[in-house]
Amino acid sequence: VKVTSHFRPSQSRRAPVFGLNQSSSKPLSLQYEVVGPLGYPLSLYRFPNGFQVVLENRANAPVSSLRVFMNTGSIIEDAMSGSVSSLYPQSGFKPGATHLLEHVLYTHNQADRRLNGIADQLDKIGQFNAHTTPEMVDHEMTCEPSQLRPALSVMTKAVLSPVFDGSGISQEKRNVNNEVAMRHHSAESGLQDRAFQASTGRALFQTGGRPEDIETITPRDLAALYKETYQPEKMALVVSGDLSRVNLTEMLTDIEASFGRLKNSKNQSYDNEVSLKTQFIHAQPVVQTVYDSRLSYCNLMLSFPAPSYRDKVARLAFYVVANYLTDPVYGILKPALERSGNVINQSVAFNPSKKSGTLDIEIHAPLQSAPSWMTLQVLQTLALLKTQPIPREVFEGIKKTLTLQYTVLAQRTDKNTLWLGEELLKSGSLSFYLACPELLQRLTPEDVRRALCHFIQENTYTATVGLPSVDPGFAYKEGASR
Amino acid sequence: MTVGYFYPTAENTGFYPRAYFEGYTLRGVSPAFSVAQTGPRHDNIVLPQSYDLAGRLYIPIPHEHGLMGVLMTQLLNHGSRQTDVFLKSLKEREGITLETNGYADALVVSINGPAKAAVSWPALIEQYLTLPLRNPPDQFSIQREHLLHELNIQRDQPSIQLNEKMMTLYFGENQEDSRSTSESIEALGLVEVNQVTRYYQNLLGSLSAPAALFVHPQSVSDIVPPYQNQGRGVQSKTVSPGSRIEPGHVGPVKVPNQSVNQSLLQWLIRAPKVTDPKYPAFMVLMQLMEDTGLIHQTLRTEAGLIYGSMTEYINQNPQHPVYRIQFAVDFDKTPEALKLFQQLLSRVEKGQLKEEQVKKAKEKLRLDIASHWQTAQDILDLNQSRLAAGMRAFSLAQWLEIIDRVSFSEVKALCKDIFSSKTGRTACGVLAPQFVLDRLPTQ
Repeated sequence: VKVTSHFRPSQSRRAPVFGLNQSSSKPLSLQYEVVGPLGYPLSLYRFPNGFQVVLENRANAPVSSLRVFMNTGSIIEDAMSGSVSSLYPQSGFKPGATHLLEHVLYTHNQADRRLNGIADQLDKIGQFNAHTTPEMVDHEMTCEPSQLRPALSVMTKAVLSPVFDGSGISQEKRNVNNEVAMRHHSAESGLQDRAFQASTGRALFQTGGRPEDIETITPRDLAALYKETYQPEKMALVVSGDLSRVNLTEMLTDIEASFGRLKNSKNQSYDNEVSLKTQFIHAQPVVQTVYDSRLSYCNLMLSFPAPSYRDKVARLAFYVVANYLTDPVYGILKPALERSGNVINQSVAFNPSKKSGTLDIEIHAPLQSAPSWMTLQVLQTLALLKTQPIPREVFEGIKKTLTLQYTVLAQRTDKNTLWLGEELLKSGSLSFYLACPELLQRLTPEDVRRALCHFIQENTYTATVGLPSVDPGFAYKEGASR
Repeated sequence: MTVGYFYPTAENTGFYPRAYFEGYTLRGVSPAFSVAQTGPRHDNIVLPQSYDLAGRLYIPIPHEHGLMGVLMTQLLNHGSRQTDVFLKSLKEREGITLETNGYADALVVSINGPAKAAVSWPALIEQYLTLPLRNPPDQFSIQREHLLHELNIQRDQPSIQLNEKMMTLYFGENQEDSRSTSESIEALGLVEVNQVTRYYQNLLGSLSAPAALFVHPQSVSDIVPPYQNQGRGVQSKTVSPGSRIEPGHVGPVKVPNQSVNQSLLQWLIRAPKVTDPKYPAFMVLMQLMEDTGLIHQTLRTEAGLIYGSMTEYINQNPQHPVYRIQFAVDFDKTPEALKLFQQLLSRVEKGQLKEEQVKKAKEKLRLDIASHWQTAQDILDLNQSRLAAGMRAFSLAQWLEIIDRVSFSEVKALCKDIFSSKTGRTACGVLAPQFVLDRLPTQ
């Protein structure tokens, strides 16, 4: 099934790679060279303007991937009407503008004035895509190893030489509206929006952009947004693939001549440190019920405070917790919920962001189920984990599972560029990426218990209950509601 | 990271509920099909940079027994206390995950773990498959309830509703290929645990023909899967007669639904089997249509009507595979999108393609296959349909070679064949509120 989509670690050691080193006369500075956790040489460069480049050399990799990251996403926009939150200051950028800008970069630019000329050029070289999220935008490309330099050249032009005029923007407004409409087909997407809003004070739909907001965005709005956000100090380029198939010195020279010469803007409308926040209230659950006639079951979405990208040990601990709760072999949440005999399925997702995070648990159950009872089971399970460490043998098994998941994830060049870029910009360094296996090896059940005690507090959560209709028999009976 | 448990959906796994058990009347009569009809086969693919070792064992079952396959999956993954202890111990000691998924035409046993433990895998799989299935009836009832709830949720989804109507249109009523979710729910409610365990024992006894593929680093020698040769196997009483629609284009069938925010448009098109010599050309054709191909160009770039499209090769019935194309469009643009897509199909049928377009599609397909050659799981996915069809797995070089050999004329000939109003069989359907359907042409 294919859907065209736009939205969407061992002890490291130093090793010489690529023949470039710190004595290079070029202004870019090699920060470090290491052998990454999978055994591939990995280098981080930084230009004087703050632009960062990560190169990972994978001998004989069948494809090469690159991603250009921009370290702010839809979070810098003003909240869309009806969802104003005091958590985020007003910047003047219109809701949905970041996503529209991501689209518009591929229509045409100063080097190629044909409408969709950039997309045409990239399409001839390989597969490309771009994604807008609340905290980040990325532009990705995968191609045959020999095509890496041309791919980088066209992608660089797409990102650095935009033209904001009528034809491209009106075309992409249609595409954005079609995309958002397609993504909001189901009742579940509406529930996810409300659940996300309850825990972060920000609508999930904000990132895509609603038609009424998109319609008001002008070329001048996009130009202003571009000027203030696509700043070299907030951007990074990550390349992974067989770099022996390209002339690396020439490629770095290209990068220096483009990204390396960008100047940072001195004036900014928004706080550089802007990121997703959470709005949990200590010891006070926030509960909301959403009625949607399209639902044929009870959908319960619970969110709990969790570590951010920067809380390295706690982050690993929460990956263990997520696995322990629903692992098909060990899972302790499923048996707890199944005692009612009726829970249909459940999923657990740990979602760290730059400075906060949530542990999100979603449960589907028949209509006669009591959401309050299910919530209680989840709370009791988490409370149990805070008092009783995970049995040692089980803990070691989960660590093996996570290690395997980690290596498999990092084996794909396209997935790995995403991980490297997110790690570099969201946590501020590659230290977690590089040390992940070692950190995981050192992690103890007590670390997990401590992390849970720190983040999971009594009655501090948000709950969103989705039901098909207003019926007192299904009402949520536990905790304060507002 | 998302962790969940087995969650069958029609869209994601190709799972399409089918029922077979004593007491349930199967429709139609056909030559018997036995899972033991082909000889054992297995393949090993070396992935030098692989850090994990992965394998899949395919145990074919007649496609109309798919629901039984799902129930067997429940037993194999949570069958007894011994199953739980065995799987837990594997994970704790070796870091190995072993699980079964039920597909429409096979039970698929997946094993995944560190490469160093590879030599023990065949014995582990054999032990796993022969663990006693002593699932207490009350536990089985709970598992069945879960499946029933899953199916109930699926039944109400607009896309499932459209899929069912389209399969009924394409294969005719009262056929295995068009059995509705409601019928499966009815059938599932009657299944007893003893019927499932008995079916499994017969299936296991016929394990002379599992297809297996293992992907591992070079340091591991070939892995040979376990075989069993006792038991009588399972027999299929039916074989689908295939499409019931006459050659040509049928539709649009109109499916009223008030809950959607956009119209869903779907086409079902007769497609070649995986074993058909035309299949490589069909792979190129799919690439030509999807992603940034013809659908994208016509309906998104030029007309601005859609965001993206979903295309799917459905071979739950390997004898009668179909190609499904679906996209969503605003209500007021539905007639225009319908017309434009029909015009696109007509152009493709007439061979109005450029050699450059086919060349680009081949390059994209090469890149897609090469991208899959990075992890063991992706390699397994890429070769799954070949193994399930009784063919050997392809290496990367073989995949690329077979794509390279597809010629422009072969693709044009295939288009003429499958989209033709004389030889092809194409059905179209639209799911939308009634006021939208009223504006569409009649069949």
